[in-house]
Amino acid sequence: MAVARMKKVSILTVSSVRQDVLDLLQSMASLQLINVHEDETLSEELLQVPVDMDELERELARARESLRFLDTYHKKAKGFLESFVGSKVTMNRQEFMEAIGGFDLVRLHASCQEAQKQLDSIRQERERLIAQEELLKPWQQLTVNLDELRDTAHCRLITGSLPRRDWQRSQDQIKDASVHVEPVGQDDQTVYFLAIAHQDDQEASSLLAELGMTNLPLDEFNGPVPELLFSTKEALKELAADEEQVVERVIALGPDVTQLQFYVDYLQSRRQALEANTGVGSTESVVMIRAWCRQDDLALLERKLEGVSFAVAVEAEDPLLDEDVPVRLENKPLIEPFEVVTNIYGFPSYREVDPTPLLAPFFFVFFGMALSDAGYGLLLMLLSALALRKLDIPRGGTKLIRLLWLGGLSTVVVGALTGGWFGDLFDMIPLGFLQDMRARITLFDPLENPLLFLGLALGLGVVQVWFGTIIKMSSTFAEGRWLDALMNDAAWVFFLPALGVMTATMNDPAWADAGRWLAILGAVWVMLGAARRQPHWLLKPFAGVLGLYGIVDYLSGTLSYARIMALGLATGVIAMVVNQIAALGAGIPVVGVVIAVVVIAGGHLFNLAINTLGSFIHSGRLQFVEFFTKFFEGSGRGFKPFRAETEFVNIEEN
Amino acid sequence: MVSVSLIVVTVVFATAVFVLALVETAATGLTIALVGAGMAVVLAGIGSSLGVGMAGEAAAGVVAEDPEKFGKLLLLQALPGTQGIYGLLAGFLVMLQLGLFGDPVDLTVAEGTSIFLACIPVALTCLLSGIYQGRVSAACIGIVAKRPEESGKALVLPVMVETYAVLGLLATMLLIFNLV
Repeated sequence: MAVARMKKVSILTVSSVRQDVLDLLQSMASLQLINVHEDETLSEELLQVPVDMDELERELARARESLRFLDTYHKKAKGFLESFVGSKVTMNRQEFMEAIGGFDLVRLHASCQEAQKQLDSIRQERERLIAQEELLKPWQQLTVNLDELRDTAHCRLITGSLPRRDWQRSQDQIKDASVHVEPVGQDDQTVYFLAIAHQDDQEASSLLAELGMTNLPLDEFNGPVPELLFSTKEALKELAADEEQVVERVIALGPDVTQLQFYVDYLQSRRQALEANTGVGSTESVVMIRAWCRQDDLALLERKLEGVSFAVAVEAEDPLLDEDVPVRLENKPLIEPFEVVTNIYGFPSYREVDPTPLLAPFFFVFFGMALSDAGYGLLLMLLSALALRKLDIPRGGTKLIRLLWLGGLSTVVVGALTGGWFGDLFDMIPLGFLQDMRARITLFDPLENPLLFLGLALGLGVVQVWFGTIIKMSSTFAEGRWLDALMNDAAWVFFLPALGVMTATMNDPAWADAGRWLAILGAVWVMLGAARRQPHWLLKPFAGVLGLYGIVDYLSGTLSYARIMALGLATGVIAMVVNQIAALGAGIPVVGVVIAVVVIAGGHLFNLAINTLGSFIHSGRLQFVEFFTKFFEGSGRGFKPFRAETEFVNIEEN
Repeated sequence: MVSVSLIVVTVVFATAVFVLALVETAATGLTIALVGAGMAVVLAGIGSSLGVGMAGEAAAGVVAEDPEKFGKLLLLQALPGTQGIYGLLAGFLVMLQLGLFGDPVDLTVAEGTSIFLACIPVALTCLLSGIYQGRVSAACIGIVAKRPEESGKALVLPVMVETYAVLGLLATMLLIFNLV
């Protein structure tokens, strides 16, 4: 129901069971290790524990390499929801060890590497063949055997290409020169030609070079071009078949992928267990491990450690007053989901109150009012219940979904009271009993009576802001600063409702004076409190007046709650828009009904999504900005237990 | 360039109303009121388009590096999109209150002009907050990229900007409810 009490435990044991103890702590997953060497009072006498992780690192690298390779062929599409909550398999340690039992990483890695090598060489060969094909294609008309197209004793044969626009221009010059040029093929841009010149005639080749010829030697090929092209195509086909075979072999490794993933997790958790040694201090024969442990887990820890070795001593001490203790929140199952809201802001410091149970009822109501449609509430409850059932998430990860379920519940209540069922959908369905049922439980319609809804929102705002000042007062009392509590915090606790009474009685002659005096008393109290804090006598009156100015804070804070009304109406009106469009669509003959159904389904789902997001974040914002600022600091540090941090499996420890 | 086009749009709407108001023969109160509804939808829509656009550009960069973050980034990109919805909502409320889906109400030019003016709060707050929320969202996408465990905080910061769009919507809604 608050911040968990922590103990600082020092575990002393003999070096020989050091790793066993660390493994045990990792499997318990309920302690946060402290680095002994950061404690200056100890560090000089304690030595580091040397750990050799090279072998493990190498194996992990091999496993990751294999996994990366296999992943490209076994990519599973990840759902939208899964990208938020992750898609791990949950199993206990025994099942986990069985799952990776007999796994042969060396063999799998070898076959992955081999496949990779084959695929690489296939790719290279393909690139070579494609380049060859590109080179030969323009010469298709050249049916003569390429062996015969070689230089003779007196003739030189040149194969090359010219850009088309240069080709026309160059005809005259070529005609005058002592060279014969024969076009063989052409495409959009280029003309390909065969030129014959005398072996000793340098002029001919320099002329061709001048004209911008690209030399395309075909010396490496033997045989007629069409045949060569054909065989290249055949070779490419063969390569494709080869590749398919290799890929098939890789896909056949599919069943191993899951096991490989588990194995990667296993190696990672081993590495983390070894890394934990960096925080361990040792003398020649004794080691010291330090950790934060929940007071409630202490007995269990001691019992489990006894199971490892009799040579283990545990010493637990209370944290020092100024020590930075990690914070773990503990709440009843009904309140626990609201920890999500607190954690978005941060953690309370160890000696602060946990605001979760304090904000929970407000968040619950605000969320419902902001979404304010019973139909959407039901849908949200249904969807989150489905998510809980279908997705394999460890209990800690379901907080958000459970919170959405609760929010759905609140929405159903508010929606039913304000008559919102998918907007005004029931008005369009010719089923009288639906409208009767709705009318019977509806208290008021916010569209017809928006001011009442606004008043409700602001009223709840006043209550929460006032509640915040009360918490502030009581925690100041609890710290023993009773004068501060009485003069500064209590002043506002009194002044705010006094202002309310004054406003309420303003027009009632019998009570107006009493109300006014109550407010004046509150104002004086606030001013005295503010003046008390100003040390200089001359400035005290000004400080008092300035203190009264704090009312602006409370006023703007309260007005901020108007957003609940705006969001609530927004949901309802957008739902109406959806229904209206659907009704327009329904007028179309034949396809009308289909269109109406599609519009209603899509439109309402969209509205639900966008308004759930809005309701959640705006309700949260009211807690952070309007409520927390009154009493909460939130400078704590979250408790991060030492455990196996895995990617693919949730290992549940028993 | 964006700001120039925004000024142009605003001026177009303003002149439309003044011309309509001056040439009384051409306008009834209804048309002026509807220009207001249109303005709410269009200006708020522009604000959201710019905001969602900016956030989307930033998000695309992160998705290119790490496609797994797509879901979270989509939420962040969607945040500045609500202004457009608020504008549509105000426009729809005007249409609803004026009975456009059944028998249109007769409005004098003065009444029509006051409805036009009632649309200004939502139109302008949504226009500007949409843009600035988009900028905050784009910046917060950096949080998701670098510190994914702090994504919750990245969602809260842009919402601080949205407050003023909600307040603008609130003012417009109250005005419309009380005018007709």
